[in-house]
Amino acid sequence: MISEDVLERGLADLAEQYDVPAGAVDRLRTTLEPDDTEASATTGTWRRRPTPRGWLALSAAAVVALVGIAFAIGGQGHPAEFGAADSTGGAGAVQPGAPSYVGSGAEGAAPSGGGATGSAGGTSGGTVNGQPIPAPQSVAHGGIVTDRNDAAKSIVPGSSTAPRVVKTGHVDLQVHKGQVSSVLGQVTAIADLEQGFVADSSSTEGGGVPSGRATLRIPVANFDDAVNRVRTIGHSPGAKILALETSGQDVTSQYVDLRARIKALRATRSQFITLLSKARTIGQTLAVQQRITDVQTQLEQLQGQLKVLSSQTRYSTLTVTVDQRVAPPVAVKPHHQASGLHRAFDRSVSRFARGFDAIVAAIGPILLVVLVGGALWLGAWFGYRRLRRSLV
Amino acid sequence: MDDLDSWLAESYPRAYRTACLVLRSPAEAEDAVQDAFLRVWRFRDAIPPGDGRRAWLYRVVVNACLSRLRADKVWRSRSDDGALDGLPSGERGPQQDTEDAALGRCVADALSRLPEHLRVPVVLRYYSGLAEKEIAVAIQRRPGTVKSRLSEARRRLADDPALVAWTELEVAR
Repeated sequence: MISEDVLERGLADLAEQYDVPAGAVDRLRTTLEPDDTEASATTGTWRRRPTPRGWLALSAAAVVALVGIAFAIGGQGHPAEFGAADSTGGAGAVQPGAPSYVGSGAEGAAPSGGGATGSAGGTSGGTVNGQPIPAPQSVAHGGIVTDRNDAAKSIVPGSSTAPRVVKTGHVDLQVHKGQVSSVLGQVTAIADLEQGFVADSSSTEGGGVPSGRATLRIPVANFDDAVNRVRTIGHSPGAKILALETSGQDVTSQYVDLRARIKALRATRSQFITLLSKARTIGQTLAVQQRITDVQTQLEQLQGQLKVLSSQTRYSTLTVTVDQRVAPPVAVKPHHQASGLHRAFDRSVSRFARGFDAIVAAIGPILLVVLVGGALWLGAWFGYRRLRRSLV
Repeated sequence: MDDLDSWLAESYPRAYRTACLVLRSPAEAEDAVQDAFLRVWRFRDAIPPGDGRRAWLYRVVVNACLSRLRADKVWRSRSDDGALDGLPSGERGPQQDTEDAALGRCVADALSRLPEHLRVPVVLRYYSGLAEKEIAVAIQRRPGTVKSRLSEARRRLADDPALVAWTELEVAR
């Protein structure tokens, strides 16, 4: 081991060979002078390096700015999500891909009974020969149709349309042995009696317990009569009503709304077709055709919905299930009872398996906690070291 | 403020030579010490009172030196170029070729072969005169680590051919 004295002498001699630069201290003083006068505003950038708290604030500000920019660029999302009542295409240029929204967004925002309009903007979807391409109209819930080019038309629910009600019912019948098929026949006969039809029926016989099910479509006006007839069957000897549920839903407003939207879209489609005849360039033609396609798609969707709604309001649905009464099961005494030792062994094996499962299940979360904790500790440690280095 | 100014001025020569011993480049050492002193001035409110400020000053100096070593790969280039390239020339004339000068060159030669983590404690302990606790503050390690590094460094230096040759010469005299 080398002596400390030799090391001190050697290092001192070595260091003495390095001459201190002449005027280095003075240069240092000169460098420090601006800061000595506390003229921090005019000092170099290294004096202005943000503190860790400053970095945090800058990061937060950057995140907020990014979120703001994202909202600014992306707008407020789909009108249906935010209740926006209108959409506009790009002003002055045809945008075939520009979305068009009809009604759905306005439905949730406009009060029922009318008075609200779905349109707020005045921009057009482009121009063809100087004429603006109208964007599809928005229809607000409640019967007010807002047309960009025409005066608003009012469709008041109930004034021109009869109330539309969707009626449904469900009856569970229980009958004695051998009566399932006959009762099911009586139920299906109700459809003919009430000027309806059997939409669906099924029956199961042989093997297990026989049962049957029939779905009747009855004109809404005869729905109550049909339910009464089923109730009569249920009260007949050998039968019993286990459950009977009926419900009715007024969909008049939806019906009117769909019709209004379809009407508005048809008008829009007509305008587009008129514009299509005036288009002179391929670009204009394609743009208008794209709009027509969009409108046609929406129109077909709404027409489908209207068709379903019309069917539901014209014919109510009555579902009847018929089951045979089942005798209560006879308790059977098991022939073999496990001995006490055998049961104890089974219990022990079962508990061992459950304990093993619990241990394996617990290892996962513990491992995760250890990994996350270790990663956090490492990050904090390195961050602390960097922070300390940056501070001095 | 004047007290801090005078203290920095007094500390400059030893800090500069410490940086020279660590970096083995006077130019790099001057830049490192200037950078370190500017940092000390900037964070003068954080200077611990009393005896702790010397260790704190050397901590800043050592950090500045290590940053330069890591950033500029000074140490790597010095190692490749040769052990004594960064040192002042030993040819100081016959009249200066004294015994101490020979020892200095041998120590420089041996020091150049020490890794950074051992060289810095050795310089701080045997040139700058810092206690082990102060070195621990300066290099941000535990005192036990400093002690073991110093022991390891002395063991390596004792086995270094340059210092072994110097010792044999001393014995022969």
